[in-house]
Amino acid sequence: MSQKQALLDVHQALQKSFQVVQQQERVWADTLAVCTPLLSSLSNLAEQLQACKSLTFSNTAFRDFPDLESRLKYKLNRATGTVLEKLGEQMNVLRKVRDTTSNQVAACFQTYEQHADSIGLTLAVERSALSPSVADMLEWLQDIERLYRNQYLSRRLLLQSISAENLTDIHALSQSWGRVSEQGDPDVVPDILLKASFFMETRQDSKYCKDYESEL
Amino acid sequence: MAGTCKSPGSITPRKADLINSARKLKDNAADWHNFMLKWENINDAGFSIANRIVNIKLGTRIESPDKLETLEGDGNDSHRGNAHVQYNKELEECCTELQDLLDKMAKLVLKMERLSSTMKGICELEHYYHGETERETPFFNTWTTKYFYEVSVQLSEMYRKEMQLKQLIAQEIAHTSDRNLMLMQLSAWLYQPYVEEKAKLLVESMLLETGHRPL
Repeated sequence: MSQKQALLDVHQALQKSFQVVQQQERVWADTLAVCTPLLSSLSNLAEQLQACKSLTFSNTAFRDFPDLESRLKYKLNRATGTVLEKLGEQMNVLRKVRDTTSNQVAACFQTYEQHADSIGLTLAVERSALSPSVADMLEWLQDIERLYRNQYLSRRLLLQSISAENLTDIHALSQSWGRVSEQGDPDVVPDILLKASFFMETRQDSKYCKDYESEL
Repeated sequence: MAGTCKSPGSITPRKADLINSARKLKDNAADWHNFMLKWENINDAGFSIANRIVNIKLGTRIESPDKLETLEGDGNDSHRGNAHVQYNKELEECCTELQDLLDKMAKLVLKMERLSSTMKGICELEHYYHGETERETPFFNTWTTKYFYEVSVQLSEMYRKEMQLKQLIAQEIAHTSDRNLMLMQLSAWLYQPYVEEKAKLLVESMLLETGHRPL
């Protein structure tokens, strides 16, 4: 296989990967946006449960309702469970984003490895006005993949660490959740997509690219 | 229905009467559904008012120390008085609104109880015609008339108890200064501890049984 053909194959794989990342990033951001109100209602519920726990019902005007405390706690716990369930559904969406991205990036790397020898090191690190170097783009893809992986794991860990007994944790969940988003650089993916945007656009037509490359 | 059942010795009115009983049960099921929806609407409106009351109370409690300080520094007593009057007025308006809603809810509970007594009436009518043994074929699918009555009583009992709780909350909420207690009152208002989750199930199965919902 000629060097040019090999490079074209890798470029196409990269382009496809960036397109997938672009879609997945949108899904990721939308999902996080859905989670925010869920988290605030979760911390709200935890606050209400805490208030219930700190009250001695028999010392209040509500002493005539002896089962009020247990009934209210039951309802609040139920509501908490429902919110957690919804959060779990969103977590599944995040996991899918992670997996789709991982698979795509792995496929892209496989293509590169197949052609690595024909492309050679010099061409792999060479960049032009139109496209960043193959090495750079592969690195970016790995960065994105790692980001999704870390973020997903941190969030899942957070959700696993809370329990009905520890209300303070639930109450603080929305802050800890926000902190996960701030881990590292929150704009990694949009920044990379921006850097690769010209590459993604100009390579829509592979025929044009071939011509362009033969001119080089 | 009442008119026809009084004419003794005739078969046709009796038959019509039975059909009427079924229709009445069906109407009652629909009424239950509508009353519960109405209750939810009023409940939501009531919650936002209760929430406002708590916010007014919390706001003034947090603000008052600073306010007092600055106002005393200015030596402007009349201003302070005005603020106080305004706060009282707003609080009073909220309480009146809440009371209005409570009255509406109380009326709903009464209507719910009336549904139960209608169902009881139908039960007694059935008893009159069929004695201890229930009618052979149920009015609809499987429910006996007595079961309709039991479900209705269960439901109205939940709402009656919830109503009592809400009345107490409305009495207390504007006179509470403990933050936790206020929070508890709010969540009790919203989550309605005495309206059990099975209420929805009961009314839905009643709708299913009477054919309001397709089987």
